[in-house]
Amino acid sequence: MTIEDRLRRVLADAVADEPPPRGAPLEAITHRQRRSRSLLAGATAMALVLGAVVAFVAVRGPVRGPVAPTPTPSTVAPPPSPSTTRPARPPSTVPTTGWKTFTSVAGNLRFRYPPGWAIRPLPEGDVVDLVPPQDAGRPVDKARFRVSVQVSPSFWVGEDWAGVTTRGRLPSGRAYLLDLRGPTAGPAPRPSGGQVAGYGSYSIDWGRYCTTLRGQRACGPHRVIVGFFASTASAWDRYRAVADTVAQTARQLRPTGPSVGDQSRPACRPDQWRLVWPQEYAFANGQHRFVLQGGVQYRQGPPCHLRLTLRLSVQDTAGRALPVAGNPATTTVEGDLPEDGMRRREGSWVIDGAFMWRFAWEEWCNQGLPATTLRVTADGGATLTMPGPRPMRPRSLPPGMSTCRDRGRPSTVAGWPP
Amino acid sequence: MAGDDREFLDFFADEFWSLRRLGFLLTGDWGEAEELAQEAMARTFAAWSRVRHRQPAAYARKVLLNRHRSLLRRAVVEARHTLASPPQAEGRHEPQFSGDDLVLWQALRRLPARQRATIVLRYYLDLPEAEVARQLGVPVGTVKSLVHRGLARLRDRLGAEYAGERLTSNTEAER
Repeated sequence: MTIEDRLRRVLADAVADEPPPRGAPLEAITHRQRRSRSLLAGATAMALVLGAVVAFVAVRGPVRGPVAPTPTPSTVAPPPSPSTTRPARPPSTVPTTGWKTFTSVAGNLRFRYPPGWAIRPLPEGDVVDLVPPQDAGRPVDKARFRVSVQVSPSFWVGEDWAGVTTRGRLPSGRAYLLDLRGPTAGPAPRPSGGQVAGYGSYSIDWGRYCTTLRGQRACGPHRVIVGFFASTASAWDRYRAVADTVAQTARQLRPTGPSVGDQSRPACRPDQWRLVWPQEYAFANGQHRFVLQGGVQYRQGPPCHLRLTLRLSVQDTAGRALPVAGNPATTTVEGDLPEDGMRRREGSWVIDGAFMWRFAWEEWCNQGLPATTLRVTADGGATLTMPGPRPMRPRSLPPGMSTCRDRGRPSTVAGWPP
Repeated sequence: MAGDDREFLDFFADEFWSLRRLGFLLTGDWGEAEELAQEAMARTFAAWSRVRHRQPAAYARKVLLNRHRSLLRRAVVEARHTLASPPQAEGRHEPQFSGDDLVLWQALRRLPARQRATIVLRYYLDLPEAEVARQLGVPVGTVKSLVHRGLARLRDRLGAEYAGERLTSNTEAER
């Protein structure tokens, strides 16, 4: 079991046996309100609350029974078997005639959205939520469908590997990754308080520029994230194409530099950088996908540009290459040093940036694969050697937990994203 | 009854208990959790006309997180001036864990507040990183960093299975 899975279970179990509250929560709140200076000024509001409490309790009885608290649903839902997962379909679009336009000068972003959809800029300023007309009267987190658009000062190839990930390009030419965890593509996360039938996100390469978002100046690669959530399968089917179309209409207001950096700089020398593996790995796709990731750290010297091809070799402990399809796998990263070098913040590596390299090993636990060593080699001979994930041994798992099992599918290794 | 108030009461009935559970995971104490949840609800009600159509649950959660952070700062100051009394085990409602789960729970409680909050939002509420960043008011990169560092500490606490052999199986191998 991964530590993430164990953590999810422990956190859910920790609150499963919830004691009753000490007092009546609503009364406590009205008491606090009474003490509050702002509500002292608003005596009318206070009276309304007290009246509401009396009326509400009379109508509904006590607010949700404290002696029978709502059980916390397990957050560790077993991912569906890919054999039952419908393939991801390519983004579809709907006509945009009459659509409105949203513009964020600070974020360097413009996109279109359907008339009648409610648009709710959030206080942070770099995020807007869109909900369909049918849900306009609901709080955003209760909407059956929601599209969130955000400008983020992070590299566009982020940690999007939990669902089905595909590459593509917008009509504007900008590259994107689409990660789907919806009814069409595997398990979805459970966001704040509501059940979710589908979740997807576009991570769009928005190039290099400077922004001031939330009062923080950030210069470097940015991405635009267009996320969409559906609480029901029907909402997913009905509005998914709208979310795709919103993403497809995204445009820049001003041109930006390439995310891969300044290719006119002199090439970096081998002594200017080193490979880094911050002991970072993850599992996805029902635990059948093992993802290894690392970065490149700047060491010394003048500003330079680096395009680096890395090769992952899956070997046995004696150094022999294993018969895994795609082995050895390659991937390429590109960026500027020192700007894009992997950094530490508060004592920990920041897992982000143009130099994050990633490999995915699918069906890593197939029987017959021995204990493995993973060797990553870069141009010029820099090498990292790491222990591989252990082959699975039979065991009984706690209810609801999933694990990697030999499904009779070929084991493959490749650079990530695909 | 005004529609807004009725709406708030519905919101309260839906969200109070989840706020209280979140508070418990942050503080490890149901009493403090209740205080935090009530504070968050009170402030959400005060801002209801402004936030009712703007993710009030997220707003309340953010209030709770901010309030928790403020209390921690105050606790640090107070601790400099007073001799803290030992925690009263009697009467406390603790989760019943044993073995590695107990180690993990205790390790989680020892994490620095921001790491713990990030871990809880990420793995208890299953919020995407971007959402965690919004809730905590930090960049996504900071969330990644906090999660990574928090998990590393937890792995270390759990010992060889997770720390000494970083890349062991994702299954619990029978030994």
